[in-house]
Amino acid sequence: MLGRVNREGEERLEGEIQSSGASAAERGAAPRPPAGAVPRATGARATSPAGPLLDVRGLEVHFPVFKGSFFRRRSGEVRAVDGVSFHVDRGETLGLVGESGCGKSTTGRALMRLVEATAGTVDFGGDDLLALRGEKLRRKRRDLQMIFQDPYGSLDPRMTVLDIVAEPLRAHGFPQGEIQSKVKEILDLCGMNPRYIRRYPHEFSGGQRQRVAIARALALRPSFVVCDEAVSALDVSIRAQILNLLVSLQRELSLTYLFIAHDLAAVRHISDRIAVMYLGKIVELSPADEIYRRPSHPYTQALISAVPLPDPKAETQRRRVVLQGDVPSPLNPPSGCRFHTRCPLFQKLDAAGQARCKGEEPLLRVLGDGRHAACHFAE
Amino acid sequence: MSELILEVKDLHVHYAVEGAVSKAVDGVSISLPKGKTLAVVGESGSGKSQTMYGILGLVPQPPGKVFGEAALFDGEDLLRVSEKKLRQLRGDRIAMIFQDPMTALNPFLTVERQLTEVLESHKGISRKAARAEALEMLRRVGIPDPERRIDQHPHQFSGGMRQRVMIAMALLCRPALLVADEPTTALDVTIQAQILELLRNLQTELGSSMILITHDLGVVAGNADYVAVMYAGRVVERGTADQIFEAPLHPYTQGLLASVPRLDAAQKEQLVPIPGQPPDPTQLPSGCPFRTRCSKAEDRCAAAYPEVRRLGEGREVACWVA
Repeated sequence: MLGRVNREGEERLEGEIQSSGASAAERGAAPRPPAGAVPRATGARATSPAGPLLDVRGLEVHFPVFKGSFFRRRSGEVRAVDGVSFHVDRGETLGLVGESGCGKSTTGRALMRLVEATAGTVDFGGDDLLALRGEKLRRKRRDLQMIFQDPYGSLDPRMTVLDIVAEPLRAHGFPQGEIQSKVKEILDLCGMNPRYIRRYPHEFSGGQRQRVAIARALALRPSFVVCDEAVSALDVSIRAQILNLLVSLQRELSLTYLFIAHDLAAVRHISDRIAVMYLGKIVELSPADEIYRRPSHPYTQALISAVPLPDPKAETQRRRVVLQGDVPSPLNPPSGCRFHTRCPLFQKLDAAGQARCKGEEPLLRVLGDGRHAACHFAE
Repeated sequence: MSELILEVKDLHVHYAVEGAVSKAVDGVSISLPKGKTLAVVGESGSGKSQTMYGILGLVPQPPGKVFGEAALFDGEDLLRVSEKKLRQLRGDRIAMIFQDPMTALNPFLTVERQLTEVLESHKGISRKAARAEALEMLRRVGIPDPERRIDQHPHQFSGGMRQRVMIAMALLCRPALLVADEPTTALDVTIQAQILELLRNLQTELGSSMILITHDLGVVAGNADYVAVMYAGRVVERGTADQIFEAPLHPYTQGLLASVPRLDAAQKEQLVPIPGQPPDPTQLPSGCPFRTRCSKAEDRCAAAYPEVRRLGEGREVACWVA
């Protein structure tokens, strides 16, 4: 059957699976999985009563690369996101981790329609986000918001805090009379003193600016928020404040987060499940605790072991998998499993095993306990 | 105690900004035994980089002003030697690695030119001999195919490879002291692991001492012998890495350790952040600069800066309450 569905109470229309499966097959670039094996990334929360809020299937974002200036011609494409499927349950936090260039931010941006996806579907409350146009899209956007990394770059320096937070309210036609009280209310919720609404961003520290950015994102009471490296630019003591704020806001406003970051410790702290990306693909998707305790994909294992622990005793006792070399170019990704050029497991395989890794692209498969990995040999 | 390669006593780095004085470094004392690694930890603006810039004569004066009791490097007071002498030391016996290799390397020059320049100016050897040494060093820092790579420009290298070039450049003259200022902050974790391992190996091989400036407590735990924690231009606590992580004394150090999300901790455990934010260095509060964020602050904390209490060899804390 198409797409192993292993969540209880999952009653997906067969036709929908068919169609997305078929389109994946149509797109089928060279070494693609056989049709019908579209990986369905289901997760740990087998009994989640709420069900998925967001369901991403076969998302692809390819950027064309051009050569020459006068006779411009397409010379290739960067496959930033190359067939990514996952869902996010209501009230859940899904972490998305990976190194620079793995496509995690592009995935988040594609969901927000800040970049256009080349293929795939994103089901959000019954609508395909990627197919929406015009007024319908504009209205849908109220429900999806984004928090960016750099609170210095994401706030207009010439606008007051009031204007910054009120902008989305005005854009969506909130009654003028209610705006100021609404802004004060949301600032208060985000731990900012509402008396500061006449001030400008430069008068605040990084942590306070990030609170303003969060207030703006939450002003329209969205149900889904993409946090793209939302705490990465902040100092250690401030980062903890903002992480705690995000957790408490999630509870109070029943938010669903896609938490994109390269800092595994922060992601593990805030996430229920974590998806690990490498060169445009999800290589592992497992519950946050499992990913730390028993990472299944060799890349996840290397990633986990590379994160330094703030504990000298633990550090000396750890066995570290140091990966060789750099991430290959997404312009020309390795054949088969994209990780095989750096994979420590690959080097230990016999010739037949190595041929499989080089020739056949591994699918995200179920390993039990909600763990999923895209590796032929993961256990 | 073993012989010290660096001993800084009561260093100050002040900047004149808009009529006020910004005390970026406000009386810092640190020391480093030969062959060991000292991590200087603190958040942005705590003065950790400025301390090193002050010692190495990299603070523009004016607007900056560097003064203090002494900064002894191998017995020589860096605060009192001539500019010429300092220039000779820098890049030769003391080398520095910066956070961002793209801005620290010259984009117009090939890697070869940048590496050989160091050797030509400090060792006075020929370009040809310098090239051979540069090639050897590139090989040692793990750059594949160095014969081809040496003639390329920095933009042709990836972030991790560029940082290796920086390290090669810093180690060319086999420095006695290596100052690494956030050497892996701009890198991904798997590349960070490579670079830290490389630094550790080369340090053992060359017997260099290292000052590692970082805000990442994880990097500190795995790489440092000694730790100095800085806050608002002062060292608030000093000790061995084990002492700092296992028995932190200063409320700021304790707060820092409690506020880091840990990969090996139970999940969704509430973090304990330090409330508020670091003070403006032009308007430091009276007494202890941390008292406004400190849960243990008492009246005497506002009265005067706490005396630095010596609790043992290299173990110090500056807090009235701890």
